[in-house]
Amino acid sequence: MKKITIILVLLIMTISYACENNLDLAPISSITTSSFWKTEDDAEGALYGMYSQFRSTLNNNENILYWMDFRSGFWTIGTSGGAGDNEKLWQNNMDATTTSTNWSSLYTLINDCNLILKYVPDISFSNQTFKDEVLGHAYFVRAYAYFKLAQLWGDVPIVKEGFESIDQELYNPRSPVSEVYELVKADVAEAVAKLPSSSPGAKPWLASKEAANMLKTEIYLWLAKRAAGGSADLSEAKTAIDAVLLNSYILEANYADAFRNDKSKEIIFSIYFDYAEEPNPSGRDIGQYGWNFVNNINYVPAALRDIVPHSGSTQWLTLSPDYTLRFLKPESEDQRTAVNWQEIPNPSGGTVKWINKYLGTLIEGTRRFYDDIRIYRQAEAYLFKAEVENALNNKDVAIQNLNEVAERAYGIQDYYPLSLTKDEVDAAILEERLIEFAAEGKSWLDIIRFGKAFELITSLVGREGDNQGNILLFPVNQDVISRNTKIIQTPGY
Amino acid sequence: MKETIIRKRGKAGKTFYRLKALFFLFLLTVITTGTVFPQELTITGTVTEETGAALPGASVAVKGTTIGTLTGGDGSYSIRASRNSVLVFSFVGMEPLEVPVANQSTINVTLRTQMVGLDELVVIGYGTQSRKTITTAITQVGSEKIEEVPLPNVTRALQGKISGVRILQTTGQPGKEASVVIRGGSSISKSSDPLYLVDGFPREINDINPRDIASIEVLKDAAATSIYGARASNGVILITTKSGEKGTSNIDFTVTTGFQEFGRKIETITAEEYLLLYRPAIENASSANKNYLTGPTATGINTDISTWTTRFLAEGEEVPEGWHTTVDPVTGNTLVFQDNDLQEQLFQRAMQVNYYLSASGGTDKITYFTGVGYTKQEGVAVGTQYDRWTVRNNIKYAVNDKISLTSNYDHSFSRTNQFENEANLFTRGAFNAKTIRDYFPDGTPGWGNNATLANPLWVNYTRINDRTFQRSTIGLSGDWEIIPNLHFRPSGNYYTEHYTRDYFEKLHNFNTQRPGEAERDQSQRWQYEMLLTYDLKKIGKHDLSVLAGYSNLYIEDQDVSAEAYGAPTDNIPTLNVSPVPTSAFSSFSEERLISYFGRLLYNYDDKYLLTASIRNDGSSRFGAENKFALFPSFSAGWIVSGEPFMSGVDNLISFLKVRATYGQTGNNDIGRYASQGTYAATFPYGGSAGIRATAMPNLALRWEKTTQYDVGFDLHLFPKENIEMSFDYYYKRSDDLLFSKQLPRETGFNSVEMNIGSVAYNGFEFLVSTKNIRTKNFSWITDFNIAYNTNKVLELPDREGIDKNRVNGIIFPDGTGVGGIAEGEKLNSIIGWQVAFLIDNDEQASAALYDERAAGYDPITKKATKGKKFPGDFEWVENWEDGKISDLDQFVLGYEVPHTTGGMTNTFAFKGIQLNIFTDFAIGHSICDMARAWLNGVGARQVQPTTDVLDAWKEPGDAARTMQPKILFHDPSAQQNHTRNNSYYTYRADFICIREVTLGYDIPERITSRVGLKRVKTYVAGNNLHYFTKYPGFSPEVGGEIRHNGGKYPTFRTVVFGLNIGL
Repeated sequence: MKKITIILVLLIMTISYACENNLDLAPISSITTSSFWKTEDDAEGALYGMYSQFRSTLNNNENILYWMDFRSGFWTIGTSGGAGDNEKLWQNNMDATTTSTNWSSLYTLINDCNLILKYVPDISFSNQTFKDEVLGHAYFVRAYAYFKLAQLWGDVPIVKEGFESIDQELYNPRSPVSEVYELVKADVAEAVAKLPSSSPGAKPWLASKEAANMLKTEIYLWLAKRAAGGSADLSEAKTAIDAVLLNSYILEANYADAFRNDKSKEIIFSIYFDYAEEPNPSGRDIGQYGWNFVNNINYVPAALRDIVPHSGSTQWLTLSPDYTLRFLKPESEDQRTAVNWQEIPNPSGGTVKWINKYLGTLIEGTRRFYDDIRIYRQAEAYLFKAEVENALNNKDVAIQNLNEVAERAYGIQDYYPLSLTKDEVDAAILEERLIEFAAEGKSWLDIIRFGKAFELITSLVGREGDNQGNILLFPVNQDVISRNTKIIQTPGY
Repeated sequence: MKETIIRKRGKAGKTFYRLKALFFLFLLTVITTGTVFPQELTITGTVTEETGAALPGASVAVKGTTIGTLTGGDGSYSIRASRNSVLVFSFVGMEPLEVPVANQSTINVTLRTQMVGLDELVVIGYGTQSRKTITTAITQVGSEKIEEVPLPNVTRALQGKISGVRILQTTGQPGKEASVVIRGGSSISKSSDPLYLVDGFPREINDINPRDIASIEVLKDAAATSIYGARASNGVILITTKSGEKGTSNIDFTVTTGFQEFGRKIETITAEEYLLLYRPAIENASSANKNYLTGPTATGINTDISTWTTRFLAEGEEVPEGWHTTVDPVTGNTLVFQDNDLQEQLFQRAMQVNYYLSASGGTDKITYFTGVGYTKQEGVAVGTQYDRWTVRNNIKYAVNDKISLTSNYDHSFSRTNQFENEANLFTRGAFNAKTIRDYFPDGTPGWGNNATLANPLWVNYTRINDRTFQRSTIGLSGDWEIIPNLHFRPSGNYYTEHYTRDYFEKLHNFNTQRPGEAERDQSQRWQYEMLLTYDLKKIGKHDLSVLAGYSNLYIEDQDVSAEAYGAPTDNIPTLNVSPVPTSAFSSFSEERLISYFGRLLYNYDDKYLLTASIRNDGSSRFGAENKFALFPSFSAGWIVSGEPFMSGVDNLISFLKVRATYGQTGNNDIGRYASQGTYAATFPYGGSAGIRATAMPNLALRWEKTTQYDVGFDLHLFPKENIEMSFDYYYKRSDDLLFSKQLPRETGFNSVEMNIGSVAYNGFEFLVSTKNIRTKNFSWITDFNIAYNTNKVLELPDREGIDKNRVNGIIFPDGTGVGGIAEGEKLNSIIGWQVAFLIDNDEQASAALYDERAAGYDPITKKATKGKKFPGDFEWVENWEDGKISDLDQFVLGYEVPHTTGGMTNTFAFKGIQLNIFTDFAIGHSICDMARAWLNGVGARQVQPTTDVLDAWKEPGDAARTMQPKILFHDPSAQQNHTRNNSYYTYRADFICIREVTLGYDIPERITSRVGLKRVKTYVAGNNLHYFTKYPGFSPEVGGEIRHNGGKYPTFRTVVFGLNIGL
C-alpha cells in the first residue's frame, strides 16, 4: 500500500511538474481577432491590407475589364483560346452564371473598409493627421466600391458594420440604389475632407485629396446624368474637378510615358503592382491584367520576336474590329494609336496583333506584368472638366479642356473648334475618352453615362426594353443568391 | 539522347555510404546480443500433425534460451538441452506445446491445429486482450499479410483486406500512402483520416517500412476507439512494430526487385486523325482564328523552331524519316508531321528494389529487434522517384523482476522526385496534340502549348523538384510491477520530422529567370503518458483488469521558405546564386492535447464480458469554454458457445460470441487557431506590410461528437472445416459537425467554422474464412469480406425558405433543390445536366428547349440567337420546369463514394509452394469525367481528343448510331456539350481489381540446412494487376474529385521477385 502511495504521489508530481498543461495557446505567427486593432501599427497594416484587396478586387479575374469594359463589345479573343463566357458580355447576353456577375470581391473590400472605420477611431495615434488619413483612405475605397456596385447592379445590399461574429445579421437584402448613392456621397465627402493633398509623382498608388475629388467628380457626373441629379450635382462635380486641376499634375508630352512610368506626374491615382507582392504561385508571369494582351511566344514567328511583345502565357484578349476600325486613327494622326494597338503582318500568313498598353517589363528575357493600373490620370481630369462644363452649358470652357487632351494626341492646337454644338462637344468628349482610355476599364460606364449605349454598342441596338429594361445592369450571380436568399435577382434576368 | 535527358540527378554514391553505415549499425546490434550455452543432453523425437503426418519445418526451442532447431522432412529433430529445461514446439497455425525434458532423451509430440487463434493477443488501446474476450470491432492484420505486398507503403498493403475499410490509391506517385476511410468516415466536411498510432504514439503513416511491422489493428467501433477520445471519430489504426522473442535468434534477409508499369492508358486518336478532323473544323468555324490553320499551332503550319511539327511537304522534299504524311483536307496539299503519343513517352516501365535485413531474438533479460531497409522505387512517369532508408531498433530489458525498460528508436529518410503540378500534367499536359515535336536538335523535348499546358517531358527536363523527409521517433517506456499485477507504465516519446523541398526552373522559353524555391519545415511532437494497470487475474470465475492513464501531447511546427529568381546558370539550382528574392517566409504554430482516461475489463467465467472506458480530452484548438470533453464507452459480450446448453451442438458450432457496444468519440480537425479568427499579414501593398481579416472567429466552436452503436457476432462452424465468420452492424451519428459554413458573399468571408447539424452512417460488415481443402500436401483457404455503408444527413441549421435546409447545391425558386448537403439525403452526390438525347436534325433543334447558357451562334448566318440549339448538340432534361434549360436543371448523376466494398483472398499451398490470389471490389460509385470531356471538347487548346470523337455526330441520321456530340472548334455557340458536368460523361466506376497475386516457394529445409540456412523462400508477387471496370479513365479509384483520377498521378501495376533468407 505504501508503494502505491509513493507511486501516486510521484505520478501527480510528474503530471503537475514535468508536463505543461496550458491549453490556451495564442498564435505566434498569426494575429487573431482579439489581439488586433490595438495600435497605430495595426491601423497602418490594415490600411495596406485594404489596398492589397483593392488591387485583387479590380485585377483578379480581369474584373476591371469584365465589369467596366467588355460589354461595350470592343473586345474579342486573342490568338488562341476560346471566348467562353466573355462572349456573353461582348454580346450582352449575360445570365446568372456568367463570369463577373459575382460581386463578392467588392464586398470583401467593403468589409476591410468597414473594419477600419469601426476600430480606427478608438485607437490612439501619436499623429492625429495620420489617423484622419487612414480613415480617409477607408472612406475613399468604400465610396469607390459602393459606387461601382450601384453603377453595375443598381440596388445592392448596404453593409456598414464590418463582420466579426456569426451573431451579427449576416443576411441583408438589396437596398434601393438611391440609398447606396447617399452612402457613396457621404463617404466621398469624408474622403475629400480627410485625405491630404498629394504631390504628383510621389506615391500615386495611395489615394489623395485629388484622387477623392476625381472620384467625387465621377460620382456627381453620374448622378447628374443617370439619377436626375441636375445642376446641384453638376456644381458639386465642378467644385471637385476644379480642386484637382489646381494641383500640378501634367500631361506627358508623349502619351506612352503615362504608361511606361509608374510614377508619371500624369497619374492621379493608380493601383500598385510589384512582383514581390503578387508573385504568381503557378509560376506564370501573371500579375496585372495586361498579361492577357501580349502574344504567346509560340505564336510569334522567330523573325518578329524582337518587335512583338510576347510571354509564356496565352493571348486571351485583344480589341475587336468593332473598336479598332471605328476609333483608331492612323498612327501618323494620333500618337495614342501606337500605344493602344498594334497589328503587323505575319510572314507565315495573317497578322500578329496586340494591345500595346500595359506591356509589363522584360526582366532578363522574361516579361513581368507589373505595371500599375491607372485609375485616374490628368487627361481624365481635363475630360471630366470638359464634361462638367459642357453639361453646365459652358461649352467654350469645355472645348478648351477637351483640346488639352486633343492637342497632346494629335499635335494640333485647338483641334476642336469653338463652333461645335453642345451635343457635338459631348460626342467629342466621349470619343476622346474611348480612345484615351482604351483597355483601361472605362468604356462601358462612360458610354452609359453619356446615354449612348443603345446607339454606340452594336449588340445593344434596339434592345432598350430587354430584361424588363434592365439590360444595362448586371445580373446577380447564382452563387450570391443561393448563399443569401434575401437577395432578389435583378428583374428581367 | 533521350536517356541522358530524362535521367535525374544520380544519388547512387550517397546511397552506398548510407547503406554501409546502416549495415555497420546493424552488425553492432547483432554482436552485442551474444548467446550463452548451458550444460546439456541430446534429445531426439518426431513432431506430427493430428492426422499423423510428419510435420517438417516445425520449430523446437529450449525455453528461455536462444537454442533452437527445425524439424526435418520426416518431422524428426535433434536438440541439446539441459535436463531440467523445457522444450517449446511450435509451427505456424498450430498451438505451441511446451514439454519439460525431465531427463527424457526421446520426446515425440503431436501439434494441434490452432483453434482459430482465439487465444491470440490483439492490441487494443493501451494494452492487449485475447481475441476470445474482445467485445469490440477490431480487425487484426498480421505481418504475413503485409510483408509480401510489393509496395513500400503500409496503407497500400491493407487495401481490401479489412472489411469496412476503404483504401484508395488515388495517386501513383511513388512513396505516397493511400487514403484510408473507416466505415465511411464520420464528418461531412472534415478529414476522414483515421488516427495512426505507431507503438502508441501518433505519427505520420508515411515512410514506415512495412517489414518492421508485427501487426496492424484497425479499431472500427467507438467502444474500441473512444479510449482515444477526441481524435478517434474516424477510427484508429494501431501499428505495432516487431520485437524479439525470448529464446530465439533470427536473422532475416530479404531482397526484392521488380518493375512497375503504367496500368491503363486513355486511348486518343492519332495525329493523322486529329489533322483530318480538326483542320476542316477550324476552316468551318467562322469565328475561330485562322491562325490555327496557318500559324505555328498543332494543326497549323510550323517551322523548325516550333514546338509543333505539322507543315506542308516542300516541293521535291522527301518525307523526313519517322514522320507521317497525309493529304490536307483543306488545301489538298501534302501535310507532314510527327505522331508522338506523350502518354507512351511519359510513362515508362520503372524498376524498384528493396533490401531488408533484420535480427531479432532475446534472452531472459533482454529481447531485441533491429531492422534496416532500403527501397528505391522509380515512378512510372519519367523523372519521378522515391528512395527510402529506414532503421528501427526495439530493445526491451529487465532491470530486475519488477522493472523492465523498453527503448524504441526509428529513423527514416526519404527522397521524392515528383512533378509540381500533377493535375496540370496528367490531365492536360500528357494530352498535348500528337503533332508535338519529340526533340529539338539541341536535345530538349517539344515544350507543349504553353506554360500551363506543357509537355510533361519538357517540364521534367526544365524543373527540379525534390523533397526529402527525415522522420525519427525516440521512445522510452518503463514497466514497474509495484505489487503483483499492479503495473505502473510511464512513457515518453519524441518525434521529429524534417521536410525539405527544393524547386528550380532552368532557363526555358516560357520563363528565362530561373525561379527557385526552398522550403525547410520542422515538426516536433512530445508525448508523455502514465498508465496504471491492475490485472486481477482469475479470482474464482471473475477476471478483472483496470487501467487509469494520463496523456500529454504537444506539437509544434516551424516552417521556413524562400523564393528567388535571376540565377545566371542552370548548374546551380540553389537560391544562393539567385539575386532577386521574391518571398521569405517563416511561421510557428503549436497545439496541445491533454487527456485523462480509464478502462475496466471484466469477464465472468469466460462467458460474460464487459468493458467500459472513459476519456476526458482537452484541446488547445477550441474556445475557452469548450476545451474539454468527455468520451465514454460501454461494450458487452456473451460467449454463447461456452454455455452448457450448447455442448450438444459443438460439432456444428465450436464458438459463438455475440457482442454489443456503445461509445462516443470526437473530431478536432479544424485549424489550430480557427476558433479565434485570423488576421493574416500576407497582403503587402506599395512595399508596406498589409494585414487583413481572413477568418471569422467563432469562440463557441467545440468538438464534433460521434456516437456509435455496434452489434455483432463471431461464429466458428464445423470445427474440422474451420469455417469462421464475423458480422457487425453499426449505426453512428455525428453531431455538432464541424463545418465550414458558407456565408453570404456580402460579409466578405467565404465561410466560417461552425458546429452544425448531424449526419448518420450505418452499415454492416461480414467476413468469412473457410479452409476448403486441407490434406497433408495441399491446402486451400478462402477469406472473403464485404461491407456496406450508407449515410444520411439528419439535421442542418435552419435556412429560411429552403427545403431540407439545403446548403450548397442548386436551390430552386420554390426552395427545393438538388445536390449539396440536405436533410434526409445522402452525402457526396455528383450533380450535373442530364442528357435527353442528341439533337439530330433542324426540326429537333428548333423544338429544343431554350438553353440559357447557349450563345446560339450560327456559323452559317453568323448570327447569335441566345438559347438556340443545333443538330449535333445535346438536348438536356428539364428539372425546374420553367420552359428553359438553366443552371437549375441539374440532377443527381451519381455518388462519389461506393456503398459496397470488399475483397477475397484464396491461398493455396502445395508442399512448399504457396499461391495467394487477392481481389477486391467497390460498387456503387460514379465518376463524372470532365477531364475526358475537356479533351474531347477543346480542340482549340491543341490537345489530343480521345477516340470518342471518332464517333462524333456529323450529319442528320447519325444520332441513330452515336451519342457523341459533334466536333466543334472553339464553342462559339457556347453549347457547352463538353464543359458542363453531364450524364454522358458520368461513368459507373464499379470495379473488381486483381490486387495481388503472390507465388512463393520454400526451399526444403534439408537443402537449405546444407548451406547453414534456416529458411530460403523465393517468390514472385504482383500488385494492381488488372481492373475489371467500365470506366475508361486511368483508374476507377478516385478520391471524390470530378475529372479522371482527380488530376493525380495515374496508379500503376507492379511485379517483383523476392528472395527471403533466414539464418
